[in-house]
Amino acid sequence: MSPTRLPARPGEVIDRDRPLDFTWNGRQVSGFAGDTIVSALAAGGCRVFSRSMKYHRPRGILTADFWDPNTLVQVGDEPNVRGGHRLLEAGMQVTAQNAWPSLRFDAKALTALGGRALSAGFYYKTFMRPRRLWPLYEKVLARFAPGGVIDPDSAPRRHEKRYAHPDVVVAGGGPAGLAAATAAARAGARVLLVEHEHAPGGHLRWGTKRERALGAAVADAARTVGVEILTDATLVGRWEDNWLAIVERDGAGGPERLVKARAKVLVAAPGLIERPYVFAGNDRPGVMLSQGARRLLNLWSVRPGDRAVVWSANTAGDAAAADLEVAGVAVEHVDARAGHTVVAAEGRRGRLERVVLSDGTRLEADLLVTAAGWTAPTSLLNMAGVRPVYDAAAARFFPAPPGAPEAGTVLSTGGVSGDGSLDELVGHGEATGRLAAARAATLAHRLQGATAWAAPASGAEPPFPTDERTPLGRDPHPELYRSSTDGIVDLSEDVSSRDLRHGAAEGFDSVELVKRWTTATMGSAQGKLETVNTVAVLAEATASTVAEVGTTTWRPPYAPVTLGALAGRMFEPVRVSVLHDLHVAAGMTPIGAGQWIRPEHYGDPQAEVRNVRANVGIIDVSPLGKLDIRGPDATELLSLLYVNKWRRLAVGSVRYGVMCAEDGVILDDGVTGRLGEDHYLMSTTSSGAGTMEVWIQNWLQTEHPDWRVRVTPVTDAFTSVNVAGPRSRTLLERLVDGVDLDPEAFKYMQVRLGAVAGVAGCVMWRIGFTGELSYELHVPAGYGPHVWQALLDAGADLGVAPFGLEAQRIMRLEKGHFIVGQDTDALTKAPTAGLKSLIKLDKEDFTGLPELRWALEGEPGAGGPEALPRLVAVQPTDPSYVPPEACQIVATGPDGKEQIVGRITSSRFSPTLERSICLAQVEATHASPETALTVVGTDGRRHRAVAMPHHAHFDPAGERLRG
Amino acid sequence: MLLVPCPNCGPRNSADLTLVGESEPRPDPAATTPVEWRSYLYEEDNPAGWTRETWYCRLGCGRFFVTERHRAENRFRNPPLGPSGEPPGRT
Amino acid sequence: MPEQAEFTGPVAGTREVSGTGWSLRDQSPIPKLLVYEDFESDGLVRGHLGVAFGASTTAPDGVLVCGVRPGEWLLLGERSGSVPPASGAVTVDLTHGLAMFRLTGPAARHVLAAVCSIDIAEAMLPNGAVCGASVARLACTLARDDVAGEHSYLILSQRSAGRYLFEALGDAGGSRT
Repeated sequence: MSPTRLPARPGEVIDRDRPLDFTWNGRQVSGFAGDTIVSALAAGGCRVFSRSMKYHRPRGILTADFWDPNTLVQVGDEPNVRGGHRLLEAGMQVTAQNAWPSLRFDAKALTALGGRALSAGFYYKTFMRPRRLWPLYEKVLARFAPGGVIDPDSAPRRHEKRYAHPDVVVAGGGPAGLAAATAAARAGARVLLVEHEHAPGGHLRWGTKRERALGAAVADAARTVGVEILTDATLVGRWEDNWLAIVERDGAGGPERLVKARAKVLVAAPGLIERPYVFAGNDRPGVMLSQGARRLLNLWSVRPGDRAVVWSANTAGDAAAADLEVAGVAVEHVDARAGHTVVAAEGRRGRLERVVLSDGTRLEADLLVTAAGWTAPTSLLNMAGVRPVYDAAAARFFPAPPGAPEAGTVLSTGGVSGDGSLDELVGHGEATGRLAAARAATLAHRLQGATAWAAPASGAEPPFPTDERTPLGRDPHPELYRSSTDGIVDLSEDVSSRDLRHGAAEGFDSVELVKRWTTATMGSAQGKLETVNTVAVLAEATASTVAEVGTTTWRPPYAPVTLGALAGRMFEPVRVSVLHDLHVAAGMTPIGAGQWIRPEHYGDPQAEVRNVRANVGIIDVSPLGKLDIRGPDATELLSLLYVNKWRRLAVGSVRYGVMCAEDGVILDDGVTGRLGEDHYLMSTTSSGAGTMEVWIQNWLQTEHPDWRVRVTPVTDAFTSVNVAGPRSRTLLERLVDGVDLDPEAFKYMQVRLGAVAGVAGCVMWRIGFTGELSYELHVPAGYGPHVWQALLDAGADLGVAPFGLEAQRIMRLEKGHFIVGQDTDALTKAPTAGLKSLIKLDKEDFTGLPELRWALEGEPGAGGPEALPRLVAVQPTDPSYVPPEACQIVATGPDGKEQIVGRITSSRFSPTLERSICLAQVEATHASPETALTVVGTDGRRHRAVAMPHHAHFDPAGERLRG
Repeated sequence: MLLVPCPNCGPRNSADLTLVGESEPRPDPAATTPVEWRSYLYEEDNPAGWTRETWYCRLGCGRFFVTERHRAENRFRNPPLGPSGEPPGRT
Repeated sequence: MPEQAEFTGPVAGTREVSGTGWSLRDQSPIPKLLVYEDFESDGLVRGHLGVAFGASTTAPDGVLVCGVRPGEWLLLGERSGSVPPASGAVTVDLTHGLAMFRLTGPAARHVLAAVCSIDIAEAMLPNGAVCGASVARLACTLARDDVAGEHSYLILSQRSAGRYLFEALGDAGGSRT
């Protein structure tokens, strides 16, 4: 490797006063601040950066930018880093990917000997049969797969997300994009400009002195007028109403940030991407695009070769030739416009040695620069519904004329729109920026008018201006796609023009099919370099034209995105009770329940159960949904929502109720207390709280807007504590003020308002989910910790102790109370859960009424209630066997074969009964008491069990809770 | 992401709202038939054209409203209507 | 009886954090009363309180009256005169049900905008504006309530998610400093 860094040159972006040391495959090397990994390595003389995906051919620099297909490297524990784009940092440990055992000697290159064996579809055809061997194939093939190495132990990286609401987003910071951004900002728009590279300026940055000066001037102008410029940022996708995803990196080594932007107008100014030419040896290191050569030379002062052939069909190629000559490179200029064509790049061991032209001329060279034309990256426009249309005279696709529904808020400028002098491009950009700003102003005016809280828009709505821009011209360009020889079309996926022809011959003759068969355009460049060549080769193979074949559909993302950028930062709200810190101090084992973090237990759930049954326990049930319902029509609302009746519920009483959806399926259940004539406090399940709030609002707003009732969610307004156990009354007598706790004065299923531990405004329900004498206290949340501590202090001599969710679940199962969503599912209608007597079909209306009527009274042509499964209590014969939840229950059918007749929905070991207990859903035919059942364990073994007469395994008469 | 025109909050990200479904009157529970009721429960026209939809402005005003959307082109037809189909009034 | 109970807020430990150009304070103990429009006479309560949905005003007794939803107001502060007419107007005390934070400072908008799904630019959320929005994917009520000419937002959420919200806002601010 001989160093190729030139002495300091004007326009270079490196800081020669800041050398940076790093390693390449373990060897110490150095570069300068401002270098990319690839420019630093190239300056050190490195020419081979990787081995190709399938044939393991040596590969070098093609574009020296983000899209460079063969310079993906591993940096430390980060795989697939784009070496042509990522800025160099001191101490980087850079290694080549996809080369084993080393870049110089690649064992897998042997596969190239078999060449044809790996033609397109090889994997599909070869490894299809026998299917049972696929796991083995997979293991072997994985060693040959490209890509870096993922280290499962790598430290988590910080990722960020933010929203943005700019008026105008400009994608692309070249001269036209910058001019558009500046003009839009001058017109008063908030403008966000997204630039792929590390600095704005586009191709002017590696251009002539005059071009560089102009680039700096337009960038300065944009900054001066307040355009927010994101560099090292990619607009990866555009969705409805200009919802944009932008991934930016915060400086070298900084975190990636996903910006979710809603723009009023999007200006796509992505410029043009230079297109490779397909010929024999076109993937040999030393074959480079004109932009790659100019970038190396003019940005990083790296001489890309000593003896160059420049094959040029346009001014960019001519400029590359001129630049190389200035840098002292011997240049042979071959003019494509005069009909000269390259047919082969020959050499040995990854080095270019000579270039063969169509007339047979052989030119000695270690560098071949091609300038064969341009690809318009129309993806962002296509995502907005703008179709790309091919223009043979200009040899590229252009966005179709506006007409798509949203074209009015998506504009384009710069090279993607057409050609022109720099002044014309800047002029078109400015006109586009003014148009974008004016259209955004109309939309802003509408937005302010439509939004209740926005400042009133001043004056009449400005007209949505029509597009009166002078269109850019189109320069003629020869159509140059493939030479008379075959070469690599997709360098990242290693797909050759021969592969594409074979694909067409096998019948994959549309571009969408051949793409999927060969994987052409599906690699890291995502079609930016290879799509049009793919189309052209296919056109040739099918004797049609590029225009007829058309392009593949461009979909998001515009460029590959790391999973970290998308998923590395999730906003997931977490809810905790106000007692959370006390639970932590008490040694809780937490459990996630929906958004909530709750105590599952404090060490020994079985002991917690025994303590509640013997003494008294307290549990934090704050997540229990609570709704404050007030107004003259509150009772009417309850009657509509619940299957049971509410008109005769006395003030001071509570009632259990079940709600069904309109299909008769159980939606939620809970207790509702009547606090006053027109005032109820409703409880819902913890998991159903949010859903029920919306469900109720839906009924009120859409079906009964005339009802005089207000429903307010107050779940978080109360700390809810259930005090359960035979000594619960004794404990409360020590703390409660203003409520007579005498069993005759405050009966089971009643509600009282009073003070607990000096805290007024507490709602007390006497209910019994656990089956014990128990009181549910709803305390103003801010005083929750005070009351909780008071209960523990006042009840120390009574043996009071906190209990968690698990103990509660055991006790409710002992009592046979079902849990909606656990013992019921999306098909469980109310009669299944033993609620037949609760359902009042004589009510005028309630949700699910027709379905429940048909279920209970029978439906013509369908079964009656006997057709529904039933929820029953089940006890395994072996008291120590606890069947896992969801185990199947089977029985021998009439045909003598075993069939499924049900499943276990809940199961626990009961410390009270010292045996296993279950709830199960079984067919009605197997639900009668004493029916022998067979439970299939997870190991397939059959266990005997029996259906019980009551849901309650313990105290079926309910004497304890009424005590 | 689609912008949904809430009559109170203006155009909002569709993720801030919930699409309830096509707006369809609830059959009289006393007189309905299984066929009619289940059509109300489960069947949507889902035309490749304009349809009336109910949306719930979950993170904004908390109001249900009816609007028309072109399901093939994902466009809304203004103005959105109140829950009973009446024009919206700002409270 | 035990001694006077102390109000426990949603946030653990310190109730104020700050960064470059912003500070975030837990103001959850401030009284919060939800008021609904009268059942019988439409516009009665609105007339009394003086603002519609989307706007706020400071009552003579210093209470901030916020039109949080159509026909619904949130009264923030110790009330002495701004209680609405009693007849038919349902009120619900949400002092304990909502977490309330105040984000203030020249960088407050940047901090909030990073995690808020709606546009809070000057024209879209001027001083005095009130709206519902997602903040860090949590349903929140925002009230722009500048203090002495400085940008300030009241941000209210379900109390149980207050701790999460406080941390998410602080984190969003940290990433700007």
